[in-house]
Amino acid sequence: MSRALPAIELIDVGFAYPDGRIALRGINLTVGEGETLVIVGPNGAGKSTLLLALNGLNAPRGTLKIAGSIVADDNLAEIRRAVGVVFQDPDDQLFMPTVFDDVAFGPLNMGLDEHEIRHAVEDALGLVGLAGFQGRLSHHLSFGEKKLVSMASVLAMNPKVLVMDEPTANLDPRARRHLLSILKELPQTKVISTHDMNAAYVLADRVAVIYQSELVAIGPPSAILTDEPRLLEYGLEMPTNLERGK
Amino acid sequence: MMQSPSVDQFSYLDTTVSRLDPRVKTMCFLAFILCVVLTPPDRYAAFFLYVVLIFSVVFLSELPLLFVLKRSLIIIPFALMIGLFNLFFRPFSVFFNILAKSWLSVLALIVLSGTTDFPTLLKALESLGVPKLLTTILSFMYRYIFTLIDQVAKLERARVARSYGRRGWSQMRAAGNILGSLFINTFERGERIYQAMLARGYHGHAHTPRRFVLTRTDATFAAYFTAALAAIVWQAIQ
Ligand SMILES: Nc1ncnc2c1ncn2[C@@H]1O[C@H](COP(=O)(O)OP(=O)(O)OP(=O)(O)O)[C@@H](O)[C@H]1O
Ligand SMILES: [Mg+2]
Repeated sequence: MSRALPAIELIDVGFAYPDGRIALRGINLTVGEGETLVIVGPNGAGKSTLLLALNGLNAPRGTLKIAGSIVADDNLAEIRRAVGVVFQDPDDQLFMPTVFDDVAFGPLNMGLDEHEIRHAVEDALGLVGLAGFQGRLSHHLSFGEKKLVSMASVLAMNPKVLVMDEPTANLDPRARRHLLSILKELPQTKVISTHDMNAAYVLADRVAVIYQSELVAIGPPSAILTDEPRLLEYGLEMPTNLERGK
Repeated sequence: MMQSPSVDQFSYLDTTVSRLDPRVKTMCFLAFILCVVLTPPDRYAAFFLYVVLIFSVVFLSELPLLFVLKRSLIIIPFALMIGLFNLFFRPFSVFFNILAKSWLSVLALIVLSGTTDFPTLLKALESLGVPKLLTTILSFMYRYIFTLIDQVAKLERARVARSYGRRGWSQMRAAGNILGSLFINTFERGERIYQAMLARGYHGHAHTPRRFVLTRTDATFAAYFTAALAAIVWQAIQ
């Protein structure tokens, strides 16, 4: 995977929470333009922490570059425009009363005019298959719909990099498949954390394994996700669709 | 499991009244309440006309009559208490005054909130000059109140599941812990929401896109309503 300009570059990135808990240690990682990197690892490994760092939501030690520019306080606005994060819990992400207001929140902050905003909202909802949901109330949506609207709310900002924390968690099989097919279609650079090994196998160009705050393995899914002894050692398991020999 | 909010449960109705510009509605009903409150207590005819006026709006709005009446009873215990207390010292007209005025005011609010969904109402208030901070707080409240109620229900269920049928004082400590964990949950959710806002470019103040457009129906409604109101007030001060 040798591409000209890496979309994301992490050099010796570390992070400790204010209470002293070390969540990331010495992470070196490059994500190419248009690549999909899937991060796997057991609970508490540090996946969410890493994803938050990509959007400048926590200030890690080390160097973090997005599209070549180092993340610092003075360019956070641009970084956040370039990197869209979909959080694990859609109730955290959808904080406006209606779907329209929620999806329009990002574009509004970007200073688009009313006409452009309506378009951005319409396009984003169309992308996730929820055209016409503008007037719905956020708290009346089903979990799967909330998840999709969360995605739309980020897509409306047209980010270059899409960061998603456990997108398929708690979805029913059909909603999960729907979401996976949407993700496959999106052209952006993607960084996705998941416990769903099958999804990882389907989506990833490369898979990174985080274990106890460290990056312990990275490579194509055909190499990482087939190495059963190592996966078990990290508290993970092989994708079932491989086990069944599909 | 999510319960449906009852603040604006009939806002899906598509009627003349619900289509009105929310600013016009808010102003009209505010004027109505103001007139009602300022009418001298012994003008029984005026109060009768107010009732006729507000119920003609209820009729236009197609809100179920029973719903409106039931809702409006909420105010009765409070008004009755204050009213009865006054009955000992003052003439009957004061008692009637308190009861009639509070009931009419509540009716106006019920029609307003029953025909306008809450987010729209907030936008209207905002464009009428209510501070953004206040409307933002209200909008968060509207968004999260049911998430919060659900959370309480879950915690309570978890307590019941492990309390082996014990009740009363021995459970007070558990209740305290539920409150505590609710507080922490809410606090941390607040942090996460703020992060989600930052992630989407929030920098201190939110903008609002929706602008309202006055239509001819708005003008007509406002004209009729204020004319009726003026007539009643005229009749009362004669
Ligand atoms: N706000 C916080 N304060 C202190 N420690 C935290 C905080 N958030 C997470 N941690 C700790 O940091 C470590 C990494 O957490 P993180 O949420 O990144 O894990 P994760 O890999 O996303 O796990 P999961 O798969 O369960 O979502 C964990 O040990 C966790 O307890
Ligand atoms: Mg996580």
